[in-house]
Amino acid sequence: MTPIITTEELSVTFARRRLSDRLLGLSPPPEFNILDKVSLALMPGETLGLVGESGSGKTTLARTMLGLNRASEGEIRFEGRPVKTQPDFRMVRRKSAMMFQDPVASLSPRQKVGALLTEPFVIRRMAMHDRKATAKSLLAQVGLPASFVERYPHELSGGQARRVGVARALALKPSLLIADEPTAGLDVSVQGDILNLIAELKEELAFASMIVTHNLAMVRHVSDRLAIMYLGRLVETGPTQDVFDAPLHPYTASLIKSEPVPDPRRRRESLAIKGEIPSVFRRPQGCEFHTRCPVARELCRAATPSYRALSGNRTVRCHFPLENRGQEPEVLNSAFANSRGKKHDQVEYRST
Amino acid sequence: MSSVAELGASIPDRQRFPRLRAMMSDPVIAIAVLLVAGFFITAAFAPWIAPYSPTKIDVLNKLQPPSAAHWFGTDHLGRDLLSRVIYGARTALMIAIVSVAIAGVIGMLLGLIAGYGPRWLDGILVLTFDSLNSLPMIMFALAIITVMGAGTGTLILVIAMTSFPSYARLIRAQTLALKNSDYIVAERLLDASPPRILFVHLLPNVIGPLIILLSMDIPVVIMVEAGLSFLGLGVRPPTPSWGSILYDGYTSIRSAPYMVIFGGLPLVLATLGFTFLGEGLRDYLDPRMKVGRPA
Amino acid sequence: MTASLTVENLSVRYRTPHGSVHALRHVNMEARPGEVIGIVGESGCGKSTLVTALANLLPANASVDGSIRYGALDLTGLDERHRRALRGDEIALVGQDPMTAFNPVLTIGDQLIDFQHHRKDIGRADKKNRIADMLAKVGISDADRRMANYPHELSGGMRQRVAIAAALLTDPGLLIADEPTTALDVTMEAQIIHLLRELRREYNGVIIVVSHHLGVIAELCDRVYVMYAGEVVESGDVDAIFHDARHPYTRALLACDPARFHERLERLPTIPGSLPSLTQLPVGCVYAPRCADCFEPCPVHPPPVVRLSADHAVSCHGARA
Repeated sequence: MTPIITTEELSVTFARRRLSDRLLGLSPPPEFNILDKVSLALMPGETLGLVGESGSGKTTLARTMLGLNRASEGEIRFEGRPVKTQPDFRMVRRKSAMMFQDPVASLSPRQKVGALLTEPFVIRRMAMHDRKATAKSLLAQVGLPASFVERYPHELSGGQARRVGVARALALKPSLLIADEPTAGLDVSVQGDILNLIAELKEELAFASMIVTHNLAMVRHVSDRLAIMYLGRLVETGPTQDVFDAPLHPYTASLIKSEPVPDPRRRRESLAIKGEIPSVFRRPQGCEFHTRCPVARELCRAATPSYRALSGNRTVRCHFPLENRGQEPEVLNSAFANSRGKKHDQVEYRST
Repeated sequence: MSSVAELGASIPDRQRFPRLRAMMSDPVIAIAVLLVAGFFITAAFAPWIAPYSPTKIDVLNKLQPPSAAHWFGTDHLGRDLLSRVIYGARTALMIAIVSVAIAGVIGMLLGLIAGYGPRWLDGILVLTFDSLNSLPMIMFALAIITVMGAGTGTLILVIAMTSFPSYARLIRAQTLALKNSDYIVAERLLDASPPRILFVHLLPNVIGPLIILLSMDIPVVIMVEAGLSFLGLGVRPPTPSWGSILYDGYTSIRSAPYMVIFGGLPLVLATLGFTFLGEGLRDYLDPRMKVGRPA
Repeated sequence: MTASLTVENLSVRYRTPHGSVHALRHVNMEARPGEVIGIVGESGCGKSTLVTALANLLPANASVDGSIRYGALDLTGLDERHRRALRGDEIALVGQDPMTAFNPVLTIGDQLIDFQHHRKDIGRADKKNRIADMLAKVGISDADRRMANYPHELSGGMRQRVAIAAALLTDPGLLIADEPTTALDVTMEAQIIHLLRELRREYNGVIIVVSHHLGVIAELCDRVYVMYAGEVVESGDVDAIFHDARHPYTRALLACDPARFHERLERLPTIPGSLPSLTQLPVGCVYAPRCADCFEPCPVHPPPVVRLSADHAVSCHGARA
């Protein structure tokens, strides 16, 4: 099967020029890798979770895939064909859609919802017999009343704006959806709604999706495969459940352990990771994670690890990958078995 | 333009109405609106309002003090001062509005292009704006008038040329701030054409401050017109203008001080009216100023 | 000073052009020195109004009923001068975005010295030493270098540490942390949680942690108040709330947290319906329209507060003591 989109050794560099350099052109400006040789493939119908902290380059990767940033090296392929020129990217954008982190800010503030929903058709010159009817059917698809066509973005709640964002992204039935923090700023009782909606529409429209997020608790329920980024590089990829059960990269393990556990009986006594992600302007030598790595050794400071493909469709970029040491502590659900049984009748699971 | 209606100043629709009402409940703004509306009505209906022709010379009745026949008195040629002030409003508003509108449109277009366009174009445009801004207005006006001759057209040209750079800079700054916002990026992902992004998505969001600035610049332009006319470089006699009334008044200030008073009063009122209106628009058009629940 | 905080029957209304908004209704709360109190709820539950009321920062269009007693003082009846003195001295607030808490044109050091302006008894050098000690306590070792930095030169996590140090410099009896980790990445969040847990060992005052994140509440707090639409629907020991929740809203909220489930769920649980309007509240229980266990009295009568144990109280018709 041909992947929907692949990146091969994709790099994005950023030149920090000082004014004197720019005027005199004396020395070539120093270059910094925001993305460094990222290779990733997304299969049709698959949901990939792209996970990383702020500054890891995950949003840059998403934007570069759609041609918003220029790659300095590497190649992007869409449905098997290389994407190089602007017309190539236009074709990619025609068949893909992006959801933004801030749902209200990604809607043009002086346009009504109706106009925003039909705009993709107008711009792409797609046949649409009746603007109002099209807008209303899109609203119905995401579970919003038809009267919303008359609303302005600032009159929507976060969850409603998110739904409008979904409708707009999926209006032209894309084959790829990139969702940047699709639940940021939403209450827990609403974030399930949005994710379930995306899952339902995914079944109906059969698109591949990439969910860019730092929310591990959420992404484990919605993604098939995970890709973990650190400082512009992929550090680990693999099937979601396997990565959670036995992370191979120490960074992945620390991320999983850092997530607060909603159970006062299982408070963490020790910190899994200290410090914070360094700036790309001061990328550590060797393995970029060695400054914070709990198991770093001499080799990590000296040499950059390369990708290792392991069995079970997993890859890791680490000199000393963990071997099933990152086993999950005993399953939380058992502690809740009692209360969970009751919850089924109080909480709607939105099953179809 | 639809954006003007959306600013709530002119068309009170269902959503904007509370904001307009709140605005009008401020007495200063209500007075400003009355003053500005008064000037527009005066200018528009001058031939019906004015008791005499503004250019009818009646030397026998020159320099008459205010009376029942001539409420504001007469000038040194016996022309009715009230009529000249009324027709002067026409001249002042026409020149101010036409020149500010021309400057506003040019400034808006160039500002959008500079803010959204490629960097080299931005550089050239900013250099142009700054060069024009660095010319002293009066010197520039004198030079142009020497070349082209005094007159209404020249005046409008001079004012538009000297004021559009500041409008362009304002729009450019606003555009730069918004060009990387999520909704513009979202439009680019849809491959919306640059004109569509500029006029449908950016313009309505950057024009608010420009309208306020334009409103506050109208009195400045009225003053400039009066000043140049006072110097004899503005509108040519016998066209009535507040500046020329003032000039005429100064020559006979000892015998007929009321000419300066009645020539200056409308200038003061117009300045106050437009300035307060601009301030009011600034306070009430600010999108962060929401009528409704506390955050 | 360390004293208990007692909130009794606190109601806050905002007068607006659209009618009166009942942002808080009959809130009761108690906090003893040395306790970490958690306030949890979703947007619109009234937790920010409660924080502003506690910090004495309510806007002019708010009207307050009931009392907030801190030791012997009633905070609702104070004049502006006393309020300000209390805010600088006894009550400290750590916000969600530490960037806005600092003046961007002054160095961290200058601002931290300024925070101690009420300490007339000690000189500038002593104040600097106190700052260095406090920064060390919040995990910043190179205090001298950091004090010379401007706020924008620090990372988000570092700024939050400095904000906590700033709050503690005044020796407050009441420390309110409003969504202290929401703006941070998960590894930094874990570190700030760890820091707050370390600090409470030597801190004797009341700490109030406001969060929508159940994990943060579970990690940090001793007792928890669950809020919904301006009311406290359930309160109790953190273990009781997370393991023996009685209010249907608390249970639904817990069930929605995806961090609770380690197996992949095909459908994530949600709470159907939406928050009632705070201008036109339902007559009976505020949660009745969304409640799966709703029965006859719920939409008609406000629910009683049922005390299940000394600490555990729930306001629900369905709860039996």
